[in-house]
Amino acid sequence: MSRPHIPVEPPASPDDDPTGVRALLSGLPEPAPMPGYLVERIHASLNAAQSQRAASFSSDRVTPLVATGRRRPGRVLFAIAGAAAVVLVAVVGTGLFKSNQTGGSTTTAASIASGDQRASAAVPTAASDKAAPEAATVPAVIQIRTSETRYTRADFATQARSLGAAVLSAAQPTASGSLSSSPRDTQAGLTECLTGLGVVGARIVHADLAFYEGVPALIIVATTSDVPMAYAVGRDCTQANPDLLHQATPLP
Amino acid sequence: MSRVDDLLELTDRELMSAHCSGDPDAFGELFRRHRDRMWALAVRTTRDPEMAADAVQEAFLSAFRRADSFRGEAEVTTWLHRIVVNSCLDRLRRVKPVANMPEADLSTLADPHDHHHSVEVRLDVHAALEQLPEGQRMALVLVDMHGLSTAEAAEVLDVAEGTIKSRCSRGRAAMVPLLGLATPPDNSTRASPKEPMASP
Repeated sequence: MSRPHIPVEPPASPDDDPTGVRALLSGLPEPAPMPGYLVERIHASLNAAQSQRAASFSSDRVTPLVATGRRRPGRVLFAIAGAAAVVLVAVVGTGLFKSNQTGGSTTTAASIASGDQRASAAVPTAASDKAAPEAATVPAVIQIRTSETRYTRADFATQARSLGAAVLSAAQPTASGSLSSSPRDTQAGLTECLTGLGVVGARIVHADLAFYEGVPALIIVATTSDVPMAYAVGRDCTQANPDLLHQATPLP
Repeated sequence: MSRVDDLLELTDRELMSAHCSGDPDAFGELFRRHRDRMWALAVRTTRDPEMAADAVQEAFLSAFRRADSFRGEAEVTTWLHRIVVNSCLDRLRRVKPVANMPEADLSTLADPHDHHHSVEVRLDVHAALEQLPEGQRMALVLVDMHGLSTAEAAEVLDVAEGTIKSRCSRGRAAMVPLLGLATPPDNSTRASPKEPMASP
């Protein structure tokens, strides 16, 4: 006597979808390939990153910028070790950064030339033919200004280019109380932010305490191996959390 | 054989190793291989070409700099997918900061007895996706739109595979009333071989 054939339902496939939604979604047109302008933009960013990496790989004289460990929340500070001298710019207030509330865009710039001690602290040697100038020639410079400039995503590159092209003015005294009482703290905070961004060996840094897409931000243009790169970060930029608001943008 | 040809011969893992060892061209080859797919993922996730462009650029830069963190347990593409997704979600959350929405049963949004509603009010597929909680939406983007397996999607989103299956199931169910689907659509022209025939 034969046993009755009992049809057995096949086990449900993970792809089973009685709603038909999966078919709808999978049937949507595939997005076009990455647009050419974006391919070029990313290539430029990667090339800049590669230049930075090549410099750090080949250098045998780089002195790491070590954070002191005293990190005060809400302060964005950075220090740059350039090919020659190091110039620290500190804009520190009791809050994070004080912007002049004079009813418009105002700028304050402060630059502090470091002593010879820092000048010899870190001299990265670039491997490429875009090697940084020797210590005796071009000093590294950092300048921070405070403005109320409204940087936008659409115009970021153009606006940052203006920042990068700003003439480096002589040191100007800032309002009393706005300078860090401790250059050591300033260097630690600055180091953290730039390290968090992966910026190594920048020779010139412009920074603008402003706004990005309506949010308080720090706009940075850092020139490394002749390639200026622009960033927008939150004012709580730290090594662990650079709080990047706008990705690294090369400014050819 | 040219340098370019050499790179073409390497697997993704080999390219990652070469990059971590200092090869200046290896990552460029990885970028060339995967840029279109990562771009598609960013567009599908953000639905905003500008945001997608920023996100995918940051993702590739991040991958370049943190290649050392690639442990090798997953595929390189899975690792790249994860970086791109996180980059996109970071941006989306800045624009639309929302607390984690409970994955409610959105099928209750449409009254099943309101035929007028189900026929007249039919959301565009993308608009309907926007209504879903982030977890369900990302599961459908990765599995249904982008074609990842549930296992791969689980790795990308760093959740259990069962969670992905659950989110897909609930997300699809939630989409039905949002799309005004009284019955599953006719799949005769584009159903994949794995799709079951729609039951009446």
